[in-house]
Amino acid sequence: MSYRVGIDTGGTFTDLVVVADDGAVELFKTPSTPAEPHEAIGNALELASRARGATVPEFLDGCELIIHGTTVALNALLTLRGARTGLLCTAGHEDSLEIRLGHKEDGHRYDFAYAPAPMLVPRRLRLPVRERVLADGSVRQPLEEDDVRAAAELFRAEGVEAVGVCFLWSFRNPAHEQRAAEILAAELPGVPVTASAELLPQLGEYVRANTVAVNSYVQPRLGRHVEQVEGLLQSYGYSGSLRYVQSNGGLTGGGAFVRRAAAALNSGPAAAPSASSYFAGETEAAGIVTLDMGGTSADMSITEESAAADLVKDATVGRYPIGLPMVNVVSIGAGGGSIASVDGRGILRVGPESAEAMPGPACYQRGGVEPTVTDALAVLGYLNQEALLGGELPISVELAREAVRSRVAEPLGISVERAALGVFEVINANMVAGVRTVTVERGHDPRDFALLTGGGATAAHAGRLAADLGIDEVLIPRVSSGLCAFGEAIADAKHTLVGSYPSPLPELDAARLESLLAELEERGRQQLREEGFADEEMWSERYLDMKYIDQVHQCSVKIPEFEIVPERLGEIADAFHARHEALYTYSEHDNVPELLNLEVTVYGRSGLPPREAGDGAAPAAAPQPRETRPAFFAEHAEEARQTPVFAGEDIGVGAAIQGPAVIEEPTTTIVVFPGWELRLVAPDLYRMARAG
Amino acid sequence: MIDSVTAEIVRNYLETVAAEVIQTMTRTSVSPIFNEAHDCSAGVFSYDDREVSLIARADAAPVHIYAALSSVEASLEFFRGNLAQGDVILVCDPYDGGSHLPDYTVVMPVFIDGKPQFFPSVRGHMPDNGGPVPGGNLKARDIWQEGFRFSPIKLYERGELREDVWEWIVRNNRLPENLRADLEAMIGGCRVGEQRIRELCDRYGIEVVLEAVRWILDSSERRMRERISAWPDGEYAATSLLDTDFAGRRDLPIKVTLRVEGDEVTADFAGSAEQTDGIANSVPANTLAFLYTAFSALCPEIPINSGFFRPVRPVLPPGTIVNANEPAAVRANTVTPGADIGDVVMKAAEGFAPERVGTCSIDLLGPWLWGKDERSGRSFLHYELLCTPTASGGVEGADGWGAWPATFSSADVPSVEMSEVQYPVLYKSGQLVTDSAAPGRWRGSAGWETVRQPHRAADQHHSIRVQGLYSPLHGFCGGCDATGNYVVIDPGGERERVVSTWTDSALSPPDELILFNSGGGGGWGNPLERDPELVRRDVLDDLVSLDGARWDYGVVLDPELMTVDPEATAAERRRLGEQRAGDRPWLSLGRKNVLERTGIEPPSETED
Repeated sequence: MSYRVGIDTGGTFTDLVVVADDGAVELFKTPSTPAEPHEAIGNALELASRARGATVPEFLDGCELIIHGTTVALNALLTLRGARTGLLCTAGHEDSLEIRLGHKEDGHRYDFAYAPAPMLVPRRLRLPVRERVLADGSVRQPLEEDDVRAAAELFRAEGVEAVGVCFLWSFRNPAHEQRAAEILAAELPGVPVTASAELLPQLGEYVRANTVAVNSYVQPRLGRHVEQVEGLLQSYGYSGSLRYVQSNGGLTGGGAFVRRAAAALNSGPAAAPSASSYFAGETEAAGIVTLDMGGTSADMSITEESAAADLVKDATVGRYPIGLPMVNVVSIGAGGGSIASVDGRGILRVGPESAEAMPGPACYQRGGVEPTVTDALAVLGYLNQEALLGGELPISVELAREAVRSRVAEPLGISVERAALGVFEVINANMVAGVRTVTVERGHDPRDFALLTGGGATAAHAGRLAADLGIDEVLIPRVSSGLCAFGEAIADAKHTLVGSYPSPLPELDAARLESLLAELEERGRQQLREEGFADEEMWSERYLDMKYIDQVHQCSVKIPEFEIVPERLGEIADAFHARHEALYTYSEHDNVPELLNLEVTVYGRSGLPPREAGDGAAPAAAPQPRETRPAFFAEHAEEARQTPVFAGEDIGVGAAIQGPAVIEEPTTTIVVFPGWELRLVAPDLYRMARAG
Repeated sequence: MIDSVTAEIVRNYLETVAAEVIQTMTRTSVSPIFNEAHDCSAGVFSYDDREVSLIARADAAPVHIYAALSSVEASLEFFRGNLAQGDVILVCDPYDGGSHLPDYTVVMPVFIDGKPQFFPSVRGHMPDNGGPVPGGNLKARDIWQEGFRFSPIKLYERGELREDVWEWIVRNNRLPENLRADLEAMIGGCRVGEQRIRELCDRYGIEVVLEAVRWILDSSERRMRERISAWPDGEYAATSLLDTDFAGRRDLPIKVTLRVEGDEVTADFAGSAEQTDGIANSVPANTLAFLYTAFSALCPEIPINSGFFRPVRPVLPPGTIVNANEPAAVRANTVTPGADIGDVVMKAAEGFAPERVGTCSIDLLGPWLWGKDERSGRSFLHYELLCTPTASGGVEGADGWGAWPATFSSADVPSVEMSEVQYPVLYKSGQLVTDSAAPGRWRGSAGWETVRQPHRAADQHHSIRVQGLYSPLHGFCGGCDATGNYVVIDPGGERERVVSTWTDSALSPPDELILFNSGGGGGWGNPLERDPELVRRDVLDDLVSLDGARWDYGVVLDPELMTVDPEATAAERRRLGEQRAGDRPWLSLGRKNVLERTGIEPPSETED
């Protein structure tokens, strides 16, 4: 039997998931090696091979496809270890990156001492080129080619490793940008050049220039990583295909992955929705909120009923806006290692500081003295009181209690259990706020959604979060703690193509719109064909960025599948009014909708058969708990409840367990709160719902 | 008794509500002043039968939301006993809860248990407010000449739209369709706020929420009192000068004395200029907003709400420029003298909180342009946000950066491309200016120069106001003042003329260039103590010239190698230190450049 492999390089762990053609899943985890991330990939391959008693070449011989998600580009940006980057601008407009539209980030508006964002391209490497294109695409001032050559000379002298070009209105007429890029390529062999209209042909020079700057800045580092991974696999004689996950959740080959490096920033977390869609058949909910809580952060994203991930085009990564479509993943500093403290005025805070891998939570016995979320969970009796990770990580509940007592309970003058519940509540409130930003602020009611857990830490919180969000159903895949690697292994190929056609709807030429969209679609399909997909494995979705005529901010509207003819423009207007109302509580039917940008997403099905929903027809016998232990719940904070603890391996498909209960799986712990019921609905998935 | 965990969760929730309100509003409004520049704010207010309290504010223009407190109070007072669920109130009168006529505040009472207990509110600066001149009448001499004025009024009554009222308001506006859409956006924002507040009360129960609100207010009050107690008791005074009232008076003083006594502080504006005949008069809502803005900037770690302001006692002498009597004209007050009020409070605070002070205001650079857009045949009115003042100052530990001081930075500068779509204009350039950053141990942001040219515009008129050229924003703790704002029409051309205070005329020829120079914010600390490496970096980036490095910072660089010469630098710094210790005032190179370029004569030193 053949299989495919997903490899996800995260900050703490590198996860490798093997998915067989019949849907069987195996997960392997190994510590990441941030300096040389491909080394951990080698280690993970060793683990997976050893588990089958095979050598790595033998293991890879049975593998038809490897899909890789990586935080290499993201880390290069966040740690500011990117390339020495130059940028060419329309003369007179070189300081756009520095003025930043006057913006200071949310949460720092009143902080005078908030330092400036480091410039990815210092002012001396942002060089002017005399040229000017107007809004209608006409040329007001021709390109001064000598300016480009002079810049190239300076870049060479300064040792610049990557160059971007962003001219005003280039997306309406890219000739100047293209010519400048040609000259640069000729003058600076080996230095990658990014032209803004090719990367992001959309209005708004500040975001476009930033996206270009980021692309150039992270490109050389990402390129090196791709070379290393491909070299590693070659050294094992691997001959199958290798694809990479982009920020839009879709797959691409190594060349395009590196060329559009700014689209690789969210490469890992963007795979979560693909995993969630896989399980979507198990729920009747309108969509799924995926919450992936690890050691230091929690990532949240949504998947809608159509199984489409929620894409945003105004994401900010680090302190840099990126205009390329990205899966909307909100990341907050809430993880098992988040530290709890009481500030000077008696307020309990949890996170965003984290005890990270070292020293880790106090209960890990590695010298940590500050109480973390994991310590609180241990005190509450939610976690195994002896060891975690299937017995591999011994813990000390005494140390957890001591940390919570001295740093939280005593300063607040409350009991240790009450303090631990407080830590649990505050971290949950933080995550609830994060979920609201991916649902409510995007026009969705979280109560219509199911919650799906990813990461090792989420399943202990999920029931409580669901209750606070008004969500009735929680899905807990057994592969939770490697959810992204799993999502990568089963992801579809996907290309997002964008274009621009600014026009008020009444003046719009339907035939032109149809042909522009069809052209984008065909470009995407051609790309998929080149990647080996057959036409019947492809499908596509169309989106239009629209707004009311005088508005500035547009919203992305999904357009039903039909050929756009003048008589059907009304349906496009209706779809826009409905989306506007969902997002902002009102629509203006008398106002004129205006089209700005176009977007087509083309998918290539990567072959895994759709998952069959668990039927639960033959309920297994009720499992026996391995033990009972006292645990504390918010409803009876002062008094422990004797709570049965089950081992995951004892639970058969169809078996149901009433809360309160704890289920210990090798890489995650599920807490079933009072009033909830947990059922193993299929070999790979639990479902938790309100009892009765 | 409510526990602090729950109270803090409620506080964070309410802050999120305020953020959602303003996001909804800015994303859906049609006017660039909101959707691009974010000249607006939102807050959540509570009412306990006695007083209105600000309980959460959006991360948006603070001067708006502190003033909105007055608007909610005015709504309650005006409609006492006549408020119902479903009412939506609009406030604009500066003498009844407003700041100046174009600032409209939407106030929405949320009834719980039959009482109005919460008020989500949005306030924003409307692009037009009727009256004789688009965007505001520079020559107004009383409130009636400034535009359309109305008392607090209901746009909805018990959920019913009052069409006659809407029509009356929009027909008194040059941009009726814009106004209608913007008001919809503001109301939409408040409705989102109402929904979220009801969800909160459903989850916790109204009693718990109210207890949390009391806790939130008391907690901020307690922390503010602790902060004030840590400041040494005493009187701290400062004076700012307003360049002009646009009506013939020059160099008008704004004076404040901050008296720190125990855990309270009095802000006494006695000694400020008498109210003027022109449009530069402030009213209490606006003066308090800038006073609170300065104090909130001094205490970034304290959650801002009405509790925070309880220990601050304002004294606003009636009949002065900070508290004018009706019917004085007030059009310019949200920047002039608002900016000077914020700046002078900061300057006085330098005496007791030097490590916290910095520029918290902007000084006026206000260009309005209107005429006919030949591309569409429609008339246009352009409040030129790409040419507005940038004034981020240095503070201990950080240089100024970006465009705006932290307190104004919710406002955005629009993108060049979007502006060129929306208005008949071409931007020749938008650039930082060498040597224009106010020197200091931590320097201000560099000044910003924009050159615009009408493009396919006909019959274009402009009205431009400038402040801060004669008396720029203060520097702090030995840092230099900002370099100053100015405007040049037809720069370098035959008809070149400098605008040092204001102008109001037609452009001729119709595609005449205008240059706007915004002089940045103030510096912090002695420039001779600035890390030479930081100076060197600025020289490499051409933000500081080699001459500027020597003149302003006493840093001597090798012009070939671009390295710091330590001995020469030490000697130069010694020499400059002695020279500046004398009585002769020294000017930064950037300020000298501005004086030369404009040919103006600044007022002599103020008598503090």
